[in-house]
Amino acid sequence: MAFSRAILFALPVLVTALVNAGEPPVIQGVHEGDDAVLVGRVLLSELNCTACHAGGIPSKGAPELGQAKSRIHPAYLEAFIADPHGTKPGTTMPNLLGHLPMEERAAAARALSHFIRSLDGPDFETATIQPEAVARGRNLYHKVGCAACHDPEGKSLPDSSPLIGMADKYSPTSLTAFLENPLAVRRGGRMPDLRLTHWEAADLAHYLLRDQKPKANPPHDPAQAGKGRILFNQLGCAQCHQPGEPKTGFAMPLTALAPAKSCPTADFALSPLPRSQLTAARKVLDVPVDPATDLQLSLIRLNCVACHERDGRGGPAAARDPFFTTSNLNLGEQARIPPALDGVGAKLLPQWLLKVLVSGASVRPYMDTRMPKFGPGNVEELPPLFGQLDSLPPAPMRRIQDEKVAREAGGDLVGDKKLGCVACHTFNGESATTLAAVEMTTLTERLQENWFHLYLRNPQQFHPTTIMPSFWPGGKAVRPEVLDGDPAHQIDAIWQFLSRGREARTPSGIRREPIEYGPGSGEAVMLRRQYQGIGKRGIGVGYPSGINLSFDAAQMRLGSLWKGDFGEMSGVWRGQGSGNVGERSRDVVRFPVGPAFAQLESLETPWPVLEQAQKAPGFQFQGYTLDNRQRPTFLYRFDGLEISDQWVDQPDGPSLVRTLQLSQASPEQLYFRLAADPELKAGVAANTFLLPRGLILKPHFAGMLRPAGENTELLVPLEGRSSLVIEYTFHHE
Amino acid sequence: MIRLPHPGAVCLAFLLPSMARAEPLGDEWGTGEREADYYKITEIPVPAPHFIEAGCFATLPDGRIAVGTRRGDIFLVEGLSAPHPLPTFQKYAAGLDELLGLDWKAGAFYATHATELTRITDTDGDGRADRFETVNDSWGFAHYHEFAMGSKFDREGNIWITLGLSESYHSKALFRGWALKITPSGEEIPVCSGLRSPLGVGDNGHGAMIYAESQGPWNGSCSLKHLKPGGFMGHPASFNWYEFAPGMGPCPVEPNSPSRLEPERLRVKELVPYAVVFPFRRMGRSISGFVVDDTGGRFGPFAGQIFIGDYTLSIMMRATMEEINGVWQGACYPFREGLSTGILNCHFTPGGQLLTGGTNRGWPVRGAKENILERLDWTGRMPFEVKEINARPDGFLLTFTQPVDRAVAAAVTNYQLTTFTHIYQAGYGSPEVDQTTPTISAAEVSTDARQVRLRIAGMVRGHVHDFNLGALRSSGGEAPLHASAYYTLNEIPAAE
Repeated sequence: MAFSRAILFALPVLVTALVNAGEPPVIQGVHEGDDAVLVGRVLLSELNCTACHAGGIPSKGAPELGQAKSRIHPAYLEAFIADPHGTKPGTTMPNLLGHLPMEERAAAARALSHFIRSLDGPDFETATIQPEAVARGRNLYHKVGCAACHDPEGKSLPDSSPLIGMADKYSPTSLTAFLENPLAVRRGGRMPDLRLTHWEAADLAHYLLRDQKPKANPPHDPAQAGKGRILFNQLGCAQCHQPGEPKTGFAMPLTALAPAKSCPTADFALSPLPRSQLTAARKVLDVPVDPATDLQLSLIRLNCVACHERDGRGGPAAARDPFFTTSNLNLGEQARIPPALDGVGAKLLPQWLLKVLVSGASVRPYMDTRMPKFGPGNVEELPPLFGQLDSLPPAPMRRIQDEKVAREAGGDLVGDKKLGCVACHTFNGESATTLAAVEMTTLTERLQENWFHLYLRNPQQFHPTTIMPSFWPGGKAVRPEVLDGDPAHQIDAIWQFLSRGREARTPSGIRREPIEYGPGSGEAVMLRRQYQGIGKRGIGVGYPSGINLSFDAAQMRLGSLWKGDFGEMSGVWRGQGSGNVGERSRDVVRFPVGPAFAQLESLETPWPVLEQAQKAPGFQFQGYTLDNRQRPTFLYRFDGLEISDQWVDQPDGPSLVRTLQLSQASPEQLYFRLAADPELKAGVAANTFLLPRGLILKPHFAGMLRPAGENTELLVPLEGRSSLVIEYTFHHE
Repeated sequence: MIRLPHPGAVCLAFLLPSMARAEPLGDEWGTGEREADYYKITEIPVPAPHFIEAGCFATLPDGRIAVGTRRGDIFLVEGLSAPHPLPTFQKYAAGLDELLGLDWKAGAFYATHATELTRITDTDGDGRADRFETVNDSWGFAHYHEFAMGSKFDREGNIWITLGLSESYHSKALFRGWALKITPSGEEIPVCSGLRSPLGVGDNGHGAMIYAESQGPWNGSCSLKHLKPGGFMGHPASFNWYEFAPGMGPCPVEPNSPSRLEPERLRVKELVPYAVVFPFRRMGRSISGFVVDDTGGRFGPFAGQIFIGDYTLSIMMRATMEEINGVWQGACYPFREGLSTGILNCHFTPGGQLLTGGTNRGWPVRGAKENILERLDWTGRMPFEVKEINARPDGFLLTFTQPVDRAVAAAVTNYQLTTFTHIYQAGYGSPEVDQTTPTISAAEVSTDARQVRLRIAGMVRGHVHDFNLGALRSSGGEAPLHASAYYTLNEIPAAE
């Protein structure tokens, strides 16, 4: 692997005028010893030569000045214009005032800065540096990719893009805004968008400005602005900077320039080497650039090579390698180092590659370094170039004609019973283990089918160190029982299965985490959902004392009681929510389906029968109130009676006291059914009744048992009563 | 380094049959990065341990936003409108079932969830609900897949509830596949039958109640439909409940399958033609909650229009509606893609920002994030868009957000217009069929250059009119942010 090294154009020489040339510009991505024409072409673009001189090479552009007054401290602005190379050594901004005598230079810079300050935007705002933000920002800076191009803290690496004078230039507010959307200011994409959240950008800004002491803003002098505007036009600032329209014919075309002649207008502080490289490039401007070189130029200009290797060039330099990290070391180096771009044009679909480049789309959540976005307008030519340059031999593919057969087999192969792809790869974000390698359901949106076949047959030929195994070693399927062991058919089956994307069925082995839900901090919790034995109109209540109930709002009855934890919610809070609330106990006592109140002509009259989930005729659920510990009192109406039904837990164990209040004395022949169960029987203590699983019922009045088919029923005649109290207690073991 | 097998060692690929494009959810518009210049997406961070799968929103009189969730909570959120929000979430109520409708009136929430419309109040003033009163629960259940969406109060104080079919195909319990109107006294009035899988119900901005229907049986594509009282929304599975809705009159005639809506409209007099059809995949796959822009311009140039989400594609779209010959119809337009979750609903904040939320589970979705709220803010820059399309007796009137380039807009060759419809059938969905290409004979640009009157021969009743305006330019030379617009022409206006 060759490490990139920036060209440092040392040995400043006296150029056009009596200028202290300062440090030469830093151009990232080019190597010492690179072909002079190649470097020259990069320079023509990066130094914005082609912004003035027509020459068929795009110029990178320069920062937008429209909102510069909000971004840049006025003093820095003035100093930078007066002496760019001295103020920010390594900058590609040329000195345009060198032709002026020293005293006029300062005045011109001042006028220009006031002109820029007269443009749109709020004033420069200072803010105090926050130490916690600095600490978070330091971590981010060395993790998300900043250190791929800029110096890590405490080190000075030769090829770093300079971060000099930051504290003089920005405020935390303005740097945050810049980092959130660098492409809005620097449209050329040399500082790409790391997809930082606002808060991440703020942390980074505080870190980068950690030594800053807020300074006052010198007053703006509108009188100077007019003078500045004239200078802005005279000097051709608008050739590179917005706002303003660049003028055509501002300078001679590149081809018409005399060889080796210095730029009379702009001093770039160049040494002889880059000058000769510029000259070399200019000489062959009319020679068409082949696609490979064209691509290489783009990869250098955008400094893709800082992170990605291609053709043996680029990838993290040794000194920066420690700042390429991963949250999942188990996935090996591939989890840490951005992928090589060799063959990428034969691997990725062009529309996906474009999305990666334009929007920073990314599929490796474990990689700490972020793929930045370069925005529209900077990278559109890259996917076709990659596609043109890269090719792979055709894989031996055979399509299974019956989609259903293919998808069925593919789903099986992916699952843990066959090839176990789910052991490492996520499927719709879920996986069988914690490895969480690249997501499978988006795979066919990203990859070329031919590459997929070649890769699956022999992953090591693409990545010698990959931990991805081959399931067809030597062309033999390790699962011969699927699709007759035909590798081409098996891989096609996986492809067809995965091409369903998020609509593909969940393969075997995907583990779903339970969602535990229950009372906390001394309060009850409630959830109205589907419960076993009730259906949709269930209302579950979990009490902190470790007892739980489900109430049926269709039939106004107790549905079940259980002790222990309240519920496991994946049945109702995952997927479409098709399941029941999972009662978190083996000891669930279920109460009979059917209304809890009924008019019986005599004790021989059977209790009315209702199907589960059927609304009980004559009843109307009216809601509930919650007390200050979230415990419910259910409210319902039956046959002219308003009934309130309160459930209060007891501090000393899994026990509930239920109080029913009727709005008036109950009519004759009205009964209340407490329970019905084959094992229901009277307890030893007076007026206690026993249900399975240790549940004891204790009505505060006389109940009667009667046989009802295979069940025994516990009934209470309500005649004349207007309240009932019942205790439900799980026997202490 | 890649070591490749020797080409001689591999057999040549067979000629492969063409596969469905390997992006089953549908293509992206590809306009997301440009859209960001005009409408910025801001994530509203949800602090742990809260979990938000928003199904509905409401604004309180004090400006707080209430969010109702699938998990059944109502949160009161403060501070979500800040440029870089770090809002506080207060859990006001919990324990409800798939909240998909929320409004606030006289100190109480009215929440529509799976099983009922509930009035929710905080009687002791501690900031948490303590009284839940059943306003209405007059519908049945046979399956978990039976959701209920509730509107805001309409102009008469009613709440409209749309009830999905059982298992999305049948009507096994009372009023599955119906729309009910719940009056201020809590009485239910069945208003429409024939719904399939509704998501989103409310006023269309002109006083007519509409709902969002999903593609499926009897629905060739998703559409906004007018809940015309007494109307039949197209899916006959719910005919079995007419005897429980005496005010609805006799059960309609069964529609024929396969057919087209246009002839069936004549046979089945209760059948209300689908007002705005959203071409499948191009304009969503599961259109969802919508809101009318009442921000008076704070959200940009589309005041009064409908903003509607899509669950599957995680996008927001626009729609406009007009009543022609007593029938509602209109157009839909792409608006913003790139949201992070499946959109269930949306809501305007008091500051004119469009809040969106939803879920990522249960059905395939492009925006695969869970537990996320996002806000769309107009950046103040004016996009160049077709703002609205209106039908005219002999063509359409196109209104733009910016003046058009007159020369470009006056050339009829710069408009591409085709039409199509769907098969109206019991089978699932429909391909686009019966394509035609009308002839544009003139494109007349208005004096202010903001409108173009297209004179057209060959407009087709019952067809979606598919406009491609990509060749147009603003007077500043800008291409339209989105080229497409789709007008559903149920009726052609009488001559002017």
